[in-house]
Amino acid sequence: MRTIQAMIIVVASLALGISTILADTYYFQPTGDTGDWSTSSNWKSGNSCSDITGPGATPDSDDDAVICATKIAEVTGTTAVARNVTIEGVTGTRIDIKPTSGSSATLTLGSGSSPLTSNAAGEGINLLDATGSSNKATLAFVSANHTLAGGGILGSDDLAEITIASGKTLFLGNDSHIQGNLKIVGAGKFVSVGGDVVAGPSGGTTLLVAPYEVDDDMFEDTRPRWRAYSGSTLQFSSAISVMNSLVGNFAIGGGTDMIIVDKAITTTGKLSLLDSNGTLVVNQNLTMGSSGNGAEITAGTIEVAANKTFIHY
Amino acid sequence: MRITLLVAAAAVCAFAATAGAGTYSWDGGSSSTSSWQTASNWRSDTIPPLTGNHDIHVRAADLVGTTTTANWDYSSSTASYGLFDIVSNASYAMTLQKSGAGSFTATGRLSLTGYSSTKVSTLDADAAMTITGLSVYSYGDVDVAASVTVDCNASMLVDALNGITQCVKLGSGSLTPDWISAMAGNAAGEHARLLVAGGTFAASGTSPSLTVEAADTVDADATLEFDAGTLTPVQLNIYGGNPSSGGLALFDFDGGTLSGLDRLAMVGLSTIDAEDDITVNGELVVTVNGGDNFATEATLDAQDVSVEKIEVGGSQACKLIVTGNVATDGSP
Repeated sequence: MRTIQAMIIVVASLALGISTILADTYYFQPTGDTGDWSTSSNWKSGNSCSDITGPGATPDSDDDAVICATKIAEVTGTTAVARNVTIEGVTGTRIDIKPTSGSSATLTLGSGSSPLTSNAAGEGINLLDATGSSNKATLAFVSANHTLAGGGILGSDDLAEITIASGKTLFLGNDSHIQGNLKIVGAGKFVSVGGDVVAGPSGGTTLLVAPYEVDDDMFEDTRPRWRAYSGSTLQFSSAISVMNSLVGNFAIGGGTDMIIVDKAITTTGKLSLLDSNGTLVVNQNLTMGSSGNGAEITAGTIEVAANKTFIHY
Repeated sequence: MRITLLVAAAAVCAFAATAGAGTYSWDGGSSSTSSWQTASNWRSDTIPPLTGNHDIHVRAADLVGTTTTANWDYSSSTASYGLFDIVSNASYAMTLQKSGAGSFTATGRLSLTGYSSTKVSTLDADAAMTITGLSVYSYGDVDVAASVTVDCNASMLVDALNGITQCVKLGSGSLTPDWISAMAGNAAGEHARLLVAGGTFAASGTSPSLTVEAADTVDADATLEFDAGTLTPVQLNIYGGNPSSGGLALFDFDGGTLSGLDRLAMVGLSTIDAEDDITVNGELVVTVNGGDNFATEATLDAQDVSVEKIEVGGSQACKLIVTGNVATDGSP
């Protein structure tokens, strides 16, 4: 009897293990170009977007999700989850996180990586505005490190948030970008290894960088990495508890643009201040520049708070 | 504090300049010549001795004739005097001219006090001379065709403490004080302007500097306008006043060469308006320190400014407004 019980336990354990290892992959293919994430009929099973074998299900936190070419998945509630999300690299393919006046909207990504492979700016994941409402769009990274390997996250509301869970890291890979009107917040770490963080291109946007730790080990420095333009603001928040090895260049140009430094930063990056309406606001010590990477200022204003220093070599 | 220090430094120089054994006054009594060596041009018809460090006055108020230029015209003699005081009035513009090739040294300060823009006091140096400090207290022209070494431990001070001051440095010769200051006073409307229109204007001491300093709490401006020639201070200080009530310190760089600059400091309400390039081998520093309870607004309007390091900050909030090209090389 004990032998049978033991066998049952072993078989159950194996089944559980297999189900964990063999997470399902579901392909987002609604009938039209746009569909709701939470509608199960919009998800298909198969081997790829071009090799569908049957109906699927709304992904849970153990499942991988693939947004097929030219499809737009809309997240309108707070329950959308997935382990990984892959967005096919075709224009018009994206996820819209759409809060409404009655509800916030959240997409929570789980234990896998979440590469974004869109090629066009504005594709990837959009965090949209709930007009006239305090409800917000949230893209939450909760259980693992994630890499944006291409494409981007575009915010349209300064209430919108990218949150990074404690102990986890969001990597911004080459040819990827975070831009627009949103906040990067959370207890985790934000690392750019070649991507752009951009306040803009729509005028008046605000991008607040406020994760607990910013560790920016970018190796490509031939183009600006921290940018503000079209009247937008990029702000390094005082909520950042640790600021490590920031490498990227600062670029301010094209309107009443502003980069605000509320966290002490030492970076080998350079300042490009290129518009008479552009302003670098230094509320904490900021040291910039490295050999061959000197300041480039054609117009603009540098404001430095009392007892703080801006130094550029 | 800066004004206090400058005044103190000037006072030290002035004290040193009081060592003249006696005073000889130009009265311009000769109607035919401005020669220094004509006795009738001097009070009591006595030519100042070449030795003894006597003080020399060339003052309009002392005139008995109409010869307003005192021309030192010794071809080979060696002379050593004390201080010089050249003062114009509403009727006469006075000039100290040095045309002779002999050796001329003033161990005291040479002061120019003009009356107006048409009745200026002038130092006209056609041959080399050495003076110990140069002060321009109101309208004064310094017309230098040769080399004038201002050797004091030594300063050239354009000082508006006693009224509107304007000093115009003319000619192709070199004027080389150890440090140079264009400083506005504390009475409203008393501006200081130092115009360099040619030749070399070099600060040549061990730590040569050029300072343009406006009044701190009243609207009294200080201007250094540089149109031609060579300007070679190691340190250039543009010290403006409180933006809410003080004067503007302006360095107006319209032409010529600015070289050897290691440090450019802008404090308070200060502006650099440069039509030509400025190369700073060291730092561009914009700062407010000490008890000044206001924010700096430094405006840098230049074609191309190249510096090794930009540093902005102090104990008060600072603002650097750039309307030209500023570049660093990035090397710490």
